[in-house]
Amino acid sequence: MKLEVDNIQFYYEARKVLDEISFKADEGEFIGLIGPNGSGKTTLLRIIDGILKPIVGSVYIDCRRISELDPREIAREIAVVPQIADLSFDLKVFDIVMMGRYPYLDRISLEREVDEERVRFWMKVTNTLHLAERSIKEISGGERQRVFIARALAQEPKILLLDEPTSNLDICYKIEIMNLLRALVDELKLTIICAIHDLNLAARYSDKIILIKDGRIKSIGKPRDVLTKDNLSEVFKIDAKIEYDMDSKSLIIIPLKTINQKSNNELIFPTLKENILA
Amino acid sequence: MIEGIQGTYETEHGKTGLLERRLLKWRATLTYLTIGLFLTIIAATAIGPVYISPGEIISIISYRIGFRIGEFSETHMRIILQLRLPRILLGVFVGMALSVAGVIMQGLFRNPLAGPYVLGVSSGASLGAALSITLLPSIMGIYTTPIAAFIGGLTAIFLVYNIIKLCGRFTVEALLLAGIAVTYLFSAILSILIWTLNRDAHNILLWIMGGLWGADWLKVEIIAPIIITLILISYIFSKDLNALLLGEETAQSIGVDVKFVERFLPILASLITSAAVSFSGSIGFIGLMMPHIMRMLVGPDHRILIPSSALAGGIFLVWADAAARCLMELPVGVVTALTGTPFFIYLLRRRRP
Amino acid sequence: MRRIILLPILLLVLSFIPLGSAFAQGQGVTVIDDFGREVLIPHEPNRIVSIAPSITETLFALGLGDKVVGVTRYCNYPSEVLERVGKGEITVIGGFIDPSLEKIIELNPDLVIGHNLLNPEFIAKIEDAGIPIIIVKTSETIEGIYEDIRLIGKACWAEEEASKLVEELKYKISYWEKQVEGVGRVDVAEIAWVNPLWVAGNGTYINDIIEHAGGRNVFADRSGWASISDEELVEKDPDYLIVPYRHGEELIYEGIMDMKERGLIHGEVIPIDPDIISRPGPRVAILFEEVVKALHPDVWSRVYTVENLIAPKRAIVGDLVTVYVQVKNDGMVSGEKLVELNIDGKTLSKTISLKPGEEKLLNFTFVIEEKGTCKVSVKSLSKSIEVSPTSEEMMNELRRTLEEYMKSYIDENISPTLTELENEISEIDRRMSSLNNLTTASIALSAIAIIISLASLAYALRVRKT
Repeated sequence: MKLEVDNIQFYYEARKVLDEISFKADEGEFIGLIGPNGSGKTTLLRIIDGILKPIVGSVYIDCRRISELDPREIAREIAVVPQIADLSFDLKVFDIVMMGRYPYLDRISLEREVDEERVRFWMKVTNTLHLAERSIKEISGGERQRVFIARALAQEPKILLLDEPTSNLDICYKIEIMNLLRALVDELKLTIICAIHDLNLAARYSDKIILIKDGRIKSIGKPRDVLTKDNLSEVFKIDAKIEYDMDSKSLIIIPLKTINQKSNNELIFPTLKENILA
Repeated sequence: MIEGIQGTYETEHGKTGLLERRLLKWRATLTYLTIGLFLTIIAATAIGPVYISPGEIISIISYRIGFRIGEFSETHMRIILQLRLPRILLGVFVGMALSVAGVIMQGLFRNPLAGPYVLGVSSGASLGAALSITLLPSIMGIYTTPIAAFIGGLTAIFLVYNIIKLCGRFTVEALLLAGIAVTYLFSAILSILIWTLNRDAHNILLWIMGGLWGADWLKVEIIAPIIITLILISYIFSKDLNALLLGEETAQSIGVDVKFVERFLPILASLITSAAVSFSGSIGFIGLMMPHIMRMLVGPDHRILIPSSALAGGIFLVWADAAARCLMELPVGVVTALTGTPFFIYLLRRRRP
Repeated sequence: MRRIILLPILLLVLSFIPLGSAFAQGQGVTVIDDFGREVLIPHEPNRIVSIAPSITETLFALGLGDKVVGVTRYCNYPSEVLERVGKGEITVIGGFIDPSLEKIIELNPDLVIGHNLLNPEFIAKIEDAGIPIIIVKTSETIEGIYEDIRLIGKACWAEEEASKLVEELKYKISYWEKQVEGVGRVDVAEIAWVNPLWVAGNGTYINDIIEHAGGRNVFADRSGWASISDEELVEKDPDYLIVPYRHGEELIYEGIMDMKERGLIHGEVIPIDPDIISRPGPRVAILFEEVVKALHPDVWSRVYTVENLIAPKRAIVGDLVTVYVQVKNDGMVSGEKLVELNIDGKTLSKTISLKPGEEKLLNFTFVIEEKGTCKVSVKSLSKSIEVSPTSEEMMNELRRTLEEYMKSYIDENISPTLTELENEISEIDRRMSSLNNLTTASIALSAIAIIISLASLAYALRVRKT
C-alpha cells in the first residue's frame, strides 16, 4: 500500500490554507503531524480522506486518485477518527462500531453475520467488547476514544487518520491510546497519520514527523531530525531543551521559555507584575 | 482486509449474536405496533358524536363486503362508510407523515427542538390556505384549499433553498436559519392578511389549528400512496441518518454522501409535511414529540425508529381525533398537545429516576 | 332681620333650579343605549359616524344617508354608500373591530354609533373627546332589530322615521308570517362554515328568522354558533340548508354541495347573500321573504298582485281566446311567481319571473268549448266572456226555431182552418157527388137532346135540298 500526497494546495474562501504539501507514506508507518494551531493539520487530514477537495494536487492511494473514487470506496481504504465526537444521541457502543461496516453494505440491507464477527474482532482488539451494550454517553473518555477507533477499524482500512486523539484524555488513557495505535502499526501494518499537539508523544510514537507551519511543510523526517531547537523556536516559538531518554527510548522536549521571555526564571507574567506594583 | 488477520480470529457461532437479538426485538416491536394500529382503527370506528352500536357497525361493514348480517340504518351507514372511516384513515396517514418528517428533521439537524415545521413548511401552507379561504375563488371546488396549502408549503422550502444559495454555503445551520427566516416572513404576511380581513380570521385560525374535518375517500386515495412512497424513500436513508448522528465528518468518512443527503432529506421531509399539512392543517406536537418518545422506547437507530414512529404516530393521531370528534370538534392539535405532554414528561422522569 | 330676608331669597334661588333643569332637559335627546348607558345628544346630529354595516344600512333606510360622514370598509349597502365614499363625501374609518380613533375624531362628528364588540377603551376615548357615542348590540332577534332601529332613530332625532320604518318592516314580516301560518314546518339548518362545520343555534338572528318563517331549526338545541361534526349533520339531514354564498365566497357552498353529491345529505341547498344573513338590520324583511321563499316556495310563488285582467267580451265557441293578466311582485325578492287563471272551474297556470316591484303581462290562450258565460278569474279579479255559438249552429238553431215557429203557427192557425176546409170540402164533395149524379144525368140528356136536335137539323136540311 502506498499513499502519495502530491503538491496539495487548498484555499478556504480567499485564504490559502495549504501550499505545496507533498509526502509519501508506506504501510506500517506511524506518521505524526505536528504544527501550531491553525497551521492546517485538520485540513490536511480532511483532504487525505477526500472530504475536502484541493484546488491543485491530488492524493493517490495505490496509484489511484481518491477524487475518482466514491465515498464508500474511500471509506474502505481510509478511516478517520475525528477530533470532536457528536454525542447528542444515546447510541449503544455496539451500534456505533457497527456503523464502521457501512462501506460494505448497500442502502437497504441489514448487517450480516460476517459484519458482526468483524465488529466483535475489532472490539476485542481495542478492548471494548465488554462495553458493547453500554451507551456511549456512560463510558469514560478513554473508553470512548477506543470505541471510535474500533469503529474506524471496522472499516478495515489501510490508512487510519486521527485528529488529536488524546487531547482530552487523562494521561493514563493518553498512553493507552498511543500504545494501541502503535500496536496497530506494528502488528497489523496499518498506516497511521496522527495530528497531535503533544510533542513528546509525537516524538515517542512516530516513525516519521511532518512539521507544518502556515500551511507548508517546514520539515519532514525522523523525530530527531525534525524536532530541533531551531524548528521549535521558529515554529513553536519556544526555547526548549531536547534530551534523549533511555527508558522510553525517545526524545523529550522540555520547554524552557518562550522566545520573547527574557530569562528562564521569569515566571511571572511581566505585564501583570507591572500593573500590580504600579 | 488487512493481511495477517484473516483466519487468526475466532468466530463466536453458537451464541445468539447481538444482531440477531436486535432483529428479533425490532420485529416484535413492529408487529405489536401494527396490531395496535389495526385495533385502533377498529375501535375508533365506534367512537363519534353520533352513537352507533358496534353491532350495527359490523352489519354495515359486512354488508359492504357482501354479506347481509343484521340491520342498520342508511344514515348510519353513510356516517360510518363515508365520514368516519376515511377520517380515521386520513388520521393514520397524516400521523405517519408528521412523525416520520419529525424523525428526519431531528436526525438531520441533531437538534431535539427540530420538528417538521422548522423549515417554514407549515407557515407556507397556512398562508396558502389563508389566501384560498379569503381571496381566491373556488377554482377546484373543495380541493382549492388543500392545493393552495400544498403549493404554499413547497414555496416555503423553495424559498429556503434559494436564500441559502444567495447567502453562501449550504450547511445544516444555514438551513435552520433560512427556515426560521421564511417562517417569520410568511407568518408576518399571514398576520397582515388576518388583520385586514378579520372577518375571516376565525376560519383561517381554524385551519391553522388543524383538524381532520372534511375527510373523504378521494383525499385518502390521494394522500395514501404519496405518504407511503415518501416514507419508504425515507426508510432507505436510515443508515445515512444513523451515520449523521456521529457528526458530518464521521458520516462522510464512513462513506455517506453527506452533501447529497443534506440537500435531499430536507426536501423529502418538506414534501411529506406539505402533503400531510395541506389536508389536515398544521397539527402540532406529533412531529416534534413522537420521534422523541419513540426514540426513548426503541432507540435511535433509524431503521426501527422510522417505521415505529410512523405506526405510533398513526395510532396516536387516530385516538386524538376520536376524542376531538366527541369534544365538539375541537381542533385535533389541541388534543394532541394536551394528551401528549404529560406522557412525555412521564417518560422523561422514568429515564432519570 | 337679615335671616328673615335670606330665607325668601334662598327659596327664590332654589326655585330656579328645577326651572333650569327643565330648561336643560328641553334641549337635546337622551337615549339609553344597549349597554344601559345614558347618552345625551344635545342637538340634531348632522355628522354621523357608523361603525357597523348594519348600522349604516339603518341610517340610510331612515333617510339619514346624507348625514353619514364615516363608515367601515365593510359597509357596502346601499350602493349609494360606495358612491359617496368614492367621491370622498364619506370617509372609511377602518374596520369593524379596529376602527381608527384618529380618523373618527378628525371627522368631527356629532354622533358615533358603535357596537358591542368595540374595545371599551375606544368608547371611553370617544367620550373623552366630547362626542356622543351610543352602542347598539348586534341583535339576535327580529324584535331586537326593531328596537335597534328605534334607538338609532331616537338618537338621530328621527323618531318618526324610525317608527315608520319599523311599522313597514313589521307589516311586511307579519304579512309573510300569516302566509305560512297553516303550512307545515320544514326542517332547516344554517351552515356558517365547513371544515369544521359551524351551524346557527338558538340565540342567533338567523335562527329567529327561520323559526318565524315556517321553519324548524334542527340545531335549535345548541346555543349560539355551534361547532358540530359532519356526522351530526348527516344524521339530522334537514330538508333545507341555508348557506351563505356569493361569487368569491363559495367555499361553504362547495363543501355542502360536495356532501350532497356524495349522498350524505339530501336537503335542498339555499344560497343567500352573506351580507344579508350576517347584518341584522333594515334588510330583515328581505331576508325573511327569502327564507319564506326558500322554505315554502309553493306559498311564496302564489303571492303577487293582479293589476289588471283583460279578456274579450265576446267569443264564439271553438275560438282561441287570449286572456291577459298583469301581475306585479309586491315583495322584495325576485323569483318565479305562479299565476293561476281560473276558467269556469278549470285552472291554467303559468310561471313568470319577476323582480321586486316588477310588473309583467302574461297571456293565457285557450279554446272555448261551451257556449254561455265563461268566467275567467285570477285571485279576486274576474271577467266574463259571452260565448256565442257558431254559424252552423246558428243556422240549425234558426231552422229549428223556424220549424218550431211554423209548427206552432200551423198548429194554432192553419190546422183548425185546414180542418174546417177539409170539412167543407168533404161537404162539397158530398154535395158534389150527389150533384154529380144529377148533373151527369142532365148532361147526358142534354147531350142526347143536342145530338137529336142536331141530327134532325141535319136531316131537315138534307131533305130540303132535294
